[in-house]
Amino acid sequence: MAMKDEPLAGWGRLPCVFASQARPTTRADLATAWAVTGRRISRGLGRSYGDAALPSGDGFALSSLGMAKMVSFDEASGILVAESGVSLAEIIEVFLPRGWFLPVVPGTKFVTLGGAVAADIHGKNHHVDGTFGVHVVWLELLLPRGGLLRCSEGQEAPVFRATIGGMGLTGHIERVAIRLRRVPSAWCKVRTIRGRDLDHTLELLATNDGSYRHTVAWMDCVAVGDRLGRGVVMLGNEATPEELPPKDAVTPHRLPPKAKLTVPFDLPEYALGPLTVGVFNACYYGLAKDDEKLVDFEKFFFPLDTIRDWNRIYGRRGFSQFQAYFPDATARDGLHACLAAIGRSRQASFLAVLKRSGPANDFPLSFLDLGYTLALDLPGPSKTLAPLMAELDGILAAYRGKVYFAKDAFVSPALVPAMYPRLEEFRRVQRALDPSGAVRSLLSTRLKLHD
Amino acid sequence: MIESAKPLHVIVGATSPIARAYAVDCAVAGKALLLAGRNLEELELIAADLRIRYGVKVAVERYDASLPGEGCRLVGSFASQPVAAIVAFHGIMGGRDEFVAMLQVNCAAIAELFEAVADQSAHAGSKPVLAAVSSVAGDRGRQSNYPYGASKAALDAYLSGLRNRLHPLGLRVITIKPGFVRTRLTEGKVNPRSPLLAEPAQVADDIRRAIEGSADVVYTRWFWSPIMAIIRSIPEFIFKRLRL
Repeated sequence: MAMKDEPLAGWGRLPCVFASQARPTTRADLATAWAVTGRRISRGLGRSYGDAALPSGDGFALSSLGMAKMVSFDEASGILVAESGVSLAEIIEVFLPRGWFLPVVPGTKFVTLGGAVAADIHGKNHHVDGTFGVHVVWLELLLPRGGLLRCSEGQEAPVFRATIGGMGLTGHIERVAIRLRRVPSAWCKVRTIRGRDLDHTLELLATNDGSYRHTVAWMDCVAVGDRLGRGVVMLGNEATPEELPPKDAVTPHRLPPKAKLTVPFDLPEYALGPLTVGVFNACYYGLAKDDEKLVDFEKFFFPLDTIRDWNRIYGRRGFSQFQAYFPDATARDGLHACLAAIGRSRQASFLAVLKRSGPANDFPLSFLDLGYTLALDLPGPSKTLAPLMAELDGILAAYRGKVYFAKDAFVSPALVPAMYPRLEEFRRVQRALDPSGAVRSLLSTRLKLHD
Repeated sequence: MIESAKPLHVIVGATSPIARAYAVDCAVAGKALLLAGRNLEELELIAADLRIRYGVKVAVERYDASLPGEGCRLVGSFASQPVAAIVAFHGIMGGRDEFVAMLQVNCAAIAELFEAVADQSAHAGSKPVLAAVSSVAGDRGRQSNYPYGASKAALDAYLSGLRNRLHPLGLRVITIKPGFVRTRLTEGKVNPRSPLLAEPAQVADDIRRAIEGSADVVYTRWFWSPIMAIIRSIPEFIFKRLRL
């Protein structure tokens, strides 16, 4: 298989490497590509922000995009079997008009099924439905030494659990069986409430957990002092056809028209300076009303997907996304410290996203547990970001916070074992599957996830 | 074999990227499909994918263009059904020692297939469109690729003659001439960022429009038509000195 070096990066375009990429389209192709010696890591749509889908050293990336077929769908159980290169966008396009939706979606639908499993993604309904991984019925893994292994909770459970959230390090996820969920419509009834400050925003999220399936807060991370942590809390439940206006009630699952906005080129760096970002954040908060309205799934779940290539707004310097989780006990103080540090640095960009998270699952490298998680973009380049990231590392260590591998490009490797107490369990499974160390990413070598 | 009321669109060499993009176009339009190719397991997967995504009827049939007799057998497999179009996508590219194999797969197999379809439709009174994917390489033999080019030139001449023969009967024959397309054939040979490199979906779109329209010979992307006109017009005493 011909392979040429090409620039590869995550969504934040920090870091960027030159590496070759194999693009198999059939199982036979895949076996050939996988048999090549050298380090490899699977790569889907490249939506992880940092270096999770970048090969390490002189290794290569194995693209899943050439294998993106839907294999079977069972109308009775809602179980879809598909090759790992299928994107969530495709699944939604096919199944939402028929009344089915993915059990969990992240903030973008342009991720592959394989990526969703490998990063064990979460969404606005984490406190109710958990992560993507808990809805996976089984998966087929191309093992590091070759050969396919089907695994599930009932079959090869340790491999199954290590693969979900395992950042592609247990092998190449080839097929996934995912249980879709019936939804009453393609609309959410969304209540918006403004939180005055961090305490108020946290309280609004915590108290509304029980009555809303989807909750999230968009925070103004430029606000400081008394207003630190002010935000717009969005609480949503899926709308029934009866709750829709008559014209939509007839076809409650109809997809909204496709957006055509794009960022056609890299914006200059001053486009997102402290002034523009400050004005934007203030307007977003100021213009939000405390009300309830119907919002289509597209706008509710994937607000940024309406602008293709939005990562280009940060220009060539790239950016990093900082996503931290804090347990309930330390969440308030940890978040306060993070927001204060970011506010002081004047490096914050668009709105930050704050989400209440539910209990942990049984996957050793899965990210969330009961508490809160905060995510926000920080523009590059690495040189100017490094001091802030180091400060945030200190806050994470002090308040028992942890970072999300799918976003990270900066965390200190020394902090990882404390953040992920089940890391050793993961390592044992990974080592048994891959004694020669064939599957490696830049992330896994940077953070020493296997040794 | 499925029995379907809708006239069948037969896609031969259905695992190729261009064929797959074309099959998607057809499925979006709700057409009934028959996918033929060598790799039955892969065909079944592609068919399942099309059924799930678009809710269309898709049948599969094994077909190996390297074996004489396969074309007749394939046409026999859908003898009872009306056919709207048959498009041959298969082709192989090799060096001088693979010339005979290329002539078989790239030209003789398509001839066998189309002769059988023409005969059958004459009996049935149906008027399918016959289209085959040739190549701009057939327009002029170049030192870098002439055995392949020669097999495509043979196909071009065959299609031209068949078109001439079937025209009075009201059957259309279309020659599709793609330039560089992002497929296995061009991987590692053509710069992936070249503006001349087309996506399989763009080529499939051109093929669909050719079938729906009235063209006889279609270059895809369109700019290959003037490029190849120039290349064809270079006098041989100059051409033989070029390094192409």
